[in-house]
Amino acid sequence: MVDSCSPLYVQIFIEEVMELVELKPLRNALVGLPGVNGLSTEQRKRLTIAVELVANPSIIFMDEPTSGLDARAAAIVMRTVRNTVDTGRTVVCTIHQPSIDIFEAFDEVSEISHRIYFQLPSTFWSAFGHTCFDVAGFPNLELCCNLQSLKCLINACSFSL
Amino acid sequence: MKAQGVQEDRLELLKGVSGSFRPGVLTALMGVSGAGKTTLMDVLAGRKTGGYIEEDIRISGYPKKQETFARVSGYCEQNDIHSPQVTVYESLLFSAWLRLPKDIDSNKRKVSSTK
Repeated sequence: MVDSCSPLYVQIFIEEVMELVELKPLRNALVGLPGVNGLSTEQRKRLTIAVELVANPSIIFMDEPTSGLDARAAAIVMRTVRNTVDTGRTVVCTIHQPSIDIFEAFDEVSEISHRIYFQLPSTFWSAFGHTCFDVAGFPNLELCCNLQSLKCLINACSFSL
Repeated sequence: MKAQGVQEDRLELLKGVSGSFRPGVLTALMGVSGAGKTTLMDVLAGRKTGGYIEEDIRISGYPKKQETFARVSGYCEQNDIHSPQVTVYESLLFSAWLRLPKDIDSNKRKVSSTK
């Protein structure tokens, strides 16, 4: 077992984290000022995640990681978030108005709406968003859903909010 | 605020909200603007130091202990604040150093940075 405080260990760990958030090609890039020079918004976001990851946390909270990013940038950030989750860590993100692609990256969705809090697996939501079958088993939702609107390819999250 | 007609001494920010996050999965916390997504997450992460938190927060069934929890959790803020004059690698190295115990002296650290 390597001493977790040894310089070598720290270095190896940083390399691993950089690999995870895909920052290796940017290793020697200057961070710079936002909107002026240096890293882009999305790269900055990944750096924020990386900075937290070097503490080797088992649970990570992220406050709106995809807000203010365009679709491509958001997809890249979500990919790195997904990589993080695949290492066995627990990640909780707040989101608002996610696109369907981002939405599908999540395993589970908790929603606070109209002061009612409910939790559903994201697979159900995706089914709801695309083809909308099987509303059975979710009586609460069945009650509040207008079945007609289920037919169209509606973004589940936009609909529910 | 009292002058403007607020009667209560304490304002309730979250009411009747409960939930759980399964380990090892990616959970989205969704809600309308102002629903309290960030507030809920801040409370769970232990970042709300002022105010009152009623009811309990449990981790694997055990009551949350903030000192321990802070060691095993991370929090990425919405606004990315970084030092502009350093590189990506230096940012990570600096962050990693900050997590090391204080008895690790700077000479020992420098071995890794000069390589």
